[in-house]
Amino acid sequence: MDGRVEESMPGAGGAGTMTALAAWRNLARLADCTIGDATGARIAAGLSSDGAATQSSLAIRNVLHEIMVDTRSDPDAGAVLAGLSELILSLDANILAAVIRAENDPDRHHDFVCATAERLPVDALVRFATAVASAFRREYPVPLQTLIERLAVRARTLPPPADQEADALLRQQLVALFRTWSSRQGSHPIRQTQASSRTRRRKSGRASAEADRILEMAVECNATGAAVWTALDEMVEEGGTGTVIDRVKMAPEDSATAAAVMKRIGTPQELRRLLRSEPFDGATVDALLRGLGLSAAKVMLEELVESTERLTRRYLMDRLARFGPEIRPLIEGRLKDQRWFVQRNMIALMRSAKCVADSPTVHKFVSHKDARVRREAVLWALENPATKDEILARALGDADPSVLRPSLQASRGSLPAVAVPVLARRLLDADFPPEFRVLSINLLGRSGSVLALEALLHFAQNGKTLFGKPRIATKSPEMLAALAAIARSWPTERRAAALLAQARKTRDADIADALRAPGIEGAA
Amino acid sequence: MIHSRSFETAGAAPSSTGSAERSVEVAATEWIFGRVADGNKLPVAEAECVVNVLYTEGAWGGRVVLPPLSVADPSVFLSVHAVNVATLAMALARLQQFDPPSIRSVGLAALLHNVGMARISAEVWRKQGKLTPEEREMVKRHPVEGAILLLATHDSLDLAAVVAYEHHLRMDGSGYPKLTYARSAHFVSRLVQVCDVFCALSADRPYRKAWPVDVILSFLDERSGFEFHPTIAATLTTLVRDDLALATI
Repeated sequence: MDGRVEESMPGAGGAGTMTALAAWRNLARLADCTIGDATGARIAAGLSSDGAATQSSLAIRNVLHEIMVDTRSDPDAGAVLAGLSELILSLDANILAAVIRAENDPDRHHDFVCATAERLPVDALVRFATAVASAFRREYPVPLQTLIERLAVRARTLPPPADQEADALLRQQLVALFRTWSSRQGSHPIRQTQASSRTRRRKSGRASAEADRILEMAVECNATGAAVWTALDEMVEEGGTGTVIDRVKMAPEDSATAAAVMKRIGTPQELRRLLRSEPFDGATVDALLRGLGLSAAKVMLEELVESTERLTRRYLMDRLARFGPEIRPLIEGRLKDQRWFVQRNMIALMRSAKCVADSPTVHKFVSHKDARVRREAVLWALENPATKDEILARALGDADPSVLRPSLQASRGSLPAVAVPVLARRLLDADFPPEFRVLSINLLGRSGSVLALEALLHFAQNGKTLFGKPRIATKSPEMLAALAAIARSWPTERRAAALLAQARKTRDADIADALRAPGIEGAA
Repeated sequence: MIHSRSFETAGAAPSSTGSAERSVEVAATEWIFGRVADGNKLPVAEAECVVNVLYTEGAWGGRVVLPPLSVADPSVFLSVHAVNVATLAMALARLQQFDPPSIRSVGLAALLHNVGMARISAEVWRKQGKLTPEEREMVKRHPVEGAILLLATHDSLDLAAVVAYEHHLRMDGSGYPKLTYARSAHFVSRLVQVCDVFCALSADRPYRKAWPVDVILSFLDERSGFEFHPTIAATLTTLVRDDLALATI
């Protein structure tokens, strides 16, 4: 080829629809060349002659960009590239640098120089590299230039397939250098262009360092940096958070690397992943939580709500409670969830996190339709002296044994006066759970209230004899408990005294014991 | 018959692709180490360029003759040594059936295995006489310094960092630096270690003359399995004997 691009094009003389050819014609026009005669050298001469290139460097650069970037799939681009190669070899060095520099957009800069490194024929690449270094005002030492030239020579002269390998390496090398030079900091090339990228090497295996080795080394050197983070992220992605934490545990206490590692892996996302992983590893999660603090609570609450694993939920309840009352606003947010188990867990958490039971919340949930929610609300309310008596009175009237049981147990110390009529009434209900009767009788007995006595007489006395004397009820645990309570708390009350007098006449040892006993505690 | 010349001068007869031309690689490496010594970032792409050129020299079947080395100027010893070790390490990696990108990764790791030295006072490592205990401790820091530098530079340098850190760890667990986590050195660290020892012993140093090649090979053989990886040491012996045989034809 003599350099006349138009003639060498397969479609020369056609309708002019070829992008590369059209761009070449534009270039010829900028250089004031006859289009049919436009060789690279002639265009270069035209551009150099009267300062045309200086004035239209951006226009030239745009044309070059179009050829390099926009004609990748153009079948006729090859001939244009050859012409371009001649142009670059012929163009004044300063003009070439000015053309490269003409673009202000760093992304387009990047695209252009990298596309050129990938596409320009080898013979012009060395000169182009020098111009790029000059355009970006980067240091391009002579030995490096010589090495690039050497690679170019090998790409041209080595026997196949070594020539192709050298060609690929040259282009890859220039892309890396151009990226370095055109980056703002003049630092290293981006990962994707690296022949030695870690991801690529991992596939081949032998020239890749294991991620945990890198982590161990980093801790030993007290070093951090890109390679450490890549390895660390790899370990975490592959489920090795536990291993990371084990390594960190062995680090010196003042290790900056260990602290940085924990900070990097201690993310809500990783916490969530660990909470969902099987089998559940509480020790690893604990280590992660230490670095996360309260920021972990949101994820933990979400997982508490969604987890189907009892072990995980139990763990979360325990660890969430350790945050203490600080966590209250987050729990309150979750209480809006209408699902009964969510509300139950949140109230239980309020209690175990030592959040003070407030009246509006307590009242809302002690009247909840689900007994499981009511029970937790009662338990929580009972821990606040300000709400305890009122809630106890309400809870002792609850029909559900699961609510009644803790209420009775909470009353063991003393039954509030306000609760006496409630319990006395409930005790007489036919559906009152039999297992709670003895305990309830004892609690009422200790209250000393007349209202309580009525209920106790119901269990201890079975009407009157024909002579008008009280008849002792058939012996039962309830009867014995009621009799004991009456003997202890109302020995002189008229009706009680009459009953007790009758009781003393019997020869039944249990009744005798009841009359002597300080009180019989029923098991609830 | 084993050639008795210093191996690092064995390629004195230059070929079109051979050792005499490696002065450019040495100069480029010197520039790279100089940048690091001045506190700049490691020029990774430039280091890769050195490796790519060395790689293409050997990739098509060229001999792995180490370049002539003037040890009269100790200031360039590190660079010459780095180029020599990189060349030899890539040759060994090729014989170990590494794929081409992996061979170049080995080459880059080998080129940079002593980069930590650039962060140690030049007066110490250029010193002609015997090192004081304090100076020796400083020199023994170079694996750690190298690893810190490489880990911080770019994530593609993980293998290079490992090799820089481990190339003085021996098979029997001795050597330095001391490890917190018990582990064996990486295979590539072992490979570079053998090349490092071979190239160091084959060079004239201010405090001793270069060892003859057959003595070095015997030294490697005696310590094979204890200090050096046996397969790698054996491969290097084969490579060197074949290369010397070619050189003497």
